[in-house]
Formats: sequence, structure tokens, C-alpha cells
Amino acid sequence: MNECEQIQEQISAMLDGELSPTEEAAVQAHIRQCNECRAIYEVFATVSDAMTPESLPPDLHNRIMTAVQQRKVHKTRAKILRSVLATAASVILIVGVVFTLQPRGGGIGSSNNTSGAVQEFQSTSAGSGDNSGMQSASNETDGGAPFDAEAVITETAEEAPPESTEIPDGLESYHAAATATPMLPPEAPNEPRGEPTEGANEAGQSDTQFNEMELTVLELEVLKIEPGMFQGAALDDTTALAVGNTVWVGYDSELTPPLQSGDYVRVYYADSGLTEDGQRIQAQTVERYDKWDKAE
Amino acid sequence: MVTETDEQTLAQKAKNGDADAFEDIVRRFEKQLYNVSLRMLGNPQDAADAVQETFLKAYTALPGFRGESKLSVWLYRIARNVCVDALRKRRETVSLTNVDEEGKELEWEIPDNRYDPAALVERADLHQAVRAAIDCLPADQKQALILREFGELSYEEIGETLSLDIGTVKSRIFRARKKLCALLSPDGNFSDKQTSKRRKGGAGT
Repeated sequence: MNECEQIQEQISAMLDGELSPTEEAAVQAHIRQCNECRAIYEVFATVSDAMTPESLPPDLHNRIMTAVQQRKVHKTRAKILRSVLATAASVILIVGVVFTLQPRGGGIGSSNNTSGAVQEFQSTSAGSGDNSGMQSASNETDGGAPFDAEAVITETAEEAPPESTEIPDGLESYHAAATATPMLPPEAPNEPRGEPTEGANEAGQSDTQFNEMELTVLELEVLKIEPGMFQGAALDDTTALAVGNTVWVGYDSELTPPLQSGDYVRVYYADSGLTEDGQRIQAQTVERYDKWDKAE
Repeated sequence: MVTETDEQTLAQKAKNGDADAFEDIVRRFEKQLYNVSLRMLGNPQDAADAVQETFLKAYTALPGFRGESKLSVWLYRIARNVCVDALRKRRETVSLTNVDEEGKELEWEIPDNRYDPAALVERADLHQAVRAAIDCLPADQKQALILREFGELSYEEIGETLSLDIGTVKSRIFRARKKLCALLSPDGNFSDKQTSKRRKGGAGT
């Protein structure tokens, strides 16, 4: 770098207020007697002046605050650690049929409303009617890798029973009360993620309005959407079943916009919603999420 | 001007669940973040999305913010990652669905650039020409310059945001300015005669 070039770099820094008074004096002395550097100074200054900020779009502030507010409600409702068991890449979700469903509570332990398909599936595993103490049995799965629901945290809250965990308006979520089966490929890591997740970050720090409930979340990629039937039977909102590494979940056709392949969904479930064979979940909620939405 | 103490106090309050404090943070930084995102991404819609995304991530990650860096630096780091992700996504989209007639992928660091900056100097206002020229800068220079000009960060803060030492920041910004001027000047020669056309006044006599 010749002398003028060095001075020109100093000119740039001077415009940014990064020079000491002594350095600035030296630059000023140089540009008084060097036409080229003086021209550079003028052009740099002009261009810099031309970089004026644009005003904020008028609705953006409110849009941001609304989004934050929704996130807040969401976090309060489902304070969870991401499950250690599944990365989006390791489990695939096929969203099955589409029954319009009534938003409903009572997801936990409610398996009365299963379709024929699920009953058929359930018949392959014992004790599915009893949803208590499921976690302890979760390592005894046959077919799928062990399901590890260790990383759940307790959400402390006031009074509302699980039945009243309403999904706030504006969230892309719904009560699916789905039964889903986490199936891990054998190599799937069973260790907690290094990064704190939003659930972890938030743990225990904000007020909550919901009943004490442990929730675990399973993150799945929607592989494809299939209409109506699975193996000759319909899936409704309370049903899901697993075939290999594929999870079928009934979903709400009113979800807006409708799910499509490539979407990512989270299935929230309580330990009590985990069936004894460890392969099926009675979910509280299924919601769409943005795969790229990772906390810093 | 947000002082460092203000920032840390605000961050602490927001961390403790003070919704007003978080809104204050949004208010203080939204315009700069919008402008930084706008220059990174090249269009208002993407920039607005990026700012929203940045604050959502910040909100989510706030409990983990320990104040080791300034709040502004922390926010810009998030914003920068959001923008880089958006550009990467855009590139993926381009390569999947939008390869041009010659089968060439568009350069990701030239978003939505349909202008020839050199020609714009002659026929449009300088602001617009400068914006178009910024779009053409190499990504590393562009990020440093944008954080300086639109984020109003010091070299030290830019260094922290981009994980660079101050000397590198200084040199990148200098090279960015030189390149900008070259783009804005048809023959890259900054004679007095040429600069006089563009001078808005103020600098030198």
C-alpha cells in the first residue's frame, strides 16, 4: 500500500469517526496538498452522505410486536425442552387424513376416539389403554429405537386443567390430540442438544397460566400429504400410527395455510400421553413451525 | 443515542418479562435493523420479514443473553444471521426453480439488482445509485459497510458482530467504499471534474 492508499484508508476511518485527533490532523495535512486524496475524501463523503436510512414501513412495528406477543403466549403454554429424541431429519411425518376437527381439549389419555386403523395398530401392542407410567416402558419398544422422553421440564402453573389449554388465536396450532409414534433410526443421537432451545431458555422464568404439565415435543418433517385413508381406514384427529420410520398423524384440515410437504411440525405431548409400548403418543397439539427458527 | 448502560438495563428488564422494556428495545433498534436488512436483502418485503424474524429470535433467546456483548451487537449478530439465512434460502430457491435461460445461478450477493449503477448516476438520484451499487459489493465488504453506515456501529462493534479484528473491519470498509466509488464512476477515475457532478456539498472546497 503506497502512502496515498494508506491515507485513503485513514480517510475512510476518519469519516467514521475512528481516528484520534493526531491521526486526523495528519490526514487533513495530507489532503490539503494531494489532489487525488482530496478527491477521494470528497467522493467518500458524498457517497456516505447519500446512504440515508429509509423510514420504517408504517405497520412493521405493530407486526413485530404482534408476532412477539404470539410467541410469548405460545411459550407460556408449552414450556418444553425439545425432545432429545428426534431431529427433524431423522423422523418423517406423513400427514394422513383430513377430518375437520373440532378444537378440543382432553388430549391426554383420551383414546376413545381412535379410528379403525389405529385400533388395528394398537392391537399390535399390549396395554395401550393404560397411559400411566408410560415413560418407564419406553425403552422396550419393538421395531423402533428406544424413545427417550427424559428431557422434559415441568411447567408450573396455576389452575386450568389440561382440558382448557386453549390455543391462542393467530397461532398455527390446533388441538389434534393425535397419537403419534416416534421412531428413531438406530443411529439417532439420544443426547440433549447443545443449544438451549426456546423452551429451555424460557424455563421457569415467566408466568404461566396452565396446569402443571410436562410436555415433550417431537419435531417432524412432513413428507407428504395423503388424502383420507390409510390402509383402508380413516385417520381422525385423535389418531396416528407408525410404519417404520414414518409417522402418520391426523390433522386439522382447517389449519391455515394447509400443511404441505416440506413443512415442519411439532407434536407436543405429555408423558401421560405416551403409550405403554413407548411407540405412540397421545398428543396435545400439533403445530407448524419454521425449521429455520432457531434461537441464537 | 442509546448508551450501553441503557441497553443493559433494558435487556435485563426485558429478560425479567417486562413487555414494555422489550418493546422499547424494538423501538430503538427496528429502524436501523430494517435498514441493515434492507441493504443486505435488497427489497423491503424481505427486509421487513427479516426484522420481524430477528426480534422473534431475540425474544426467544433473550433469557440466554448474559450481557457479554452489547445488546446492539447481539441484535445485529442475529440480524446478520437471519439475512445470511434468507440469502441462502433464496439461492437454494433460485438454483432449484429459477435458473435463468443460460442455466446460470444468480450471484447471491447481488439481490434484486436490475440496475447498472454507473448509468444510474447519470439519470437517477445518487441515493438510488448508491443503493444499487451496495448490492454489487462483495458480501464481506458489504456487511461491514452496511453495519457502519446503516447500523451506525463502531469498528469495534462491527468486529464483534462479524468476528473480525478492527484492522480487518477498517480495511473492508475502505475497500467497500473504493469499490462503491468505482461502480458509481463510469471509468473509476475520481477527478475533480467528475466528482463535482456528484458532490452534494459539504466535503472540501
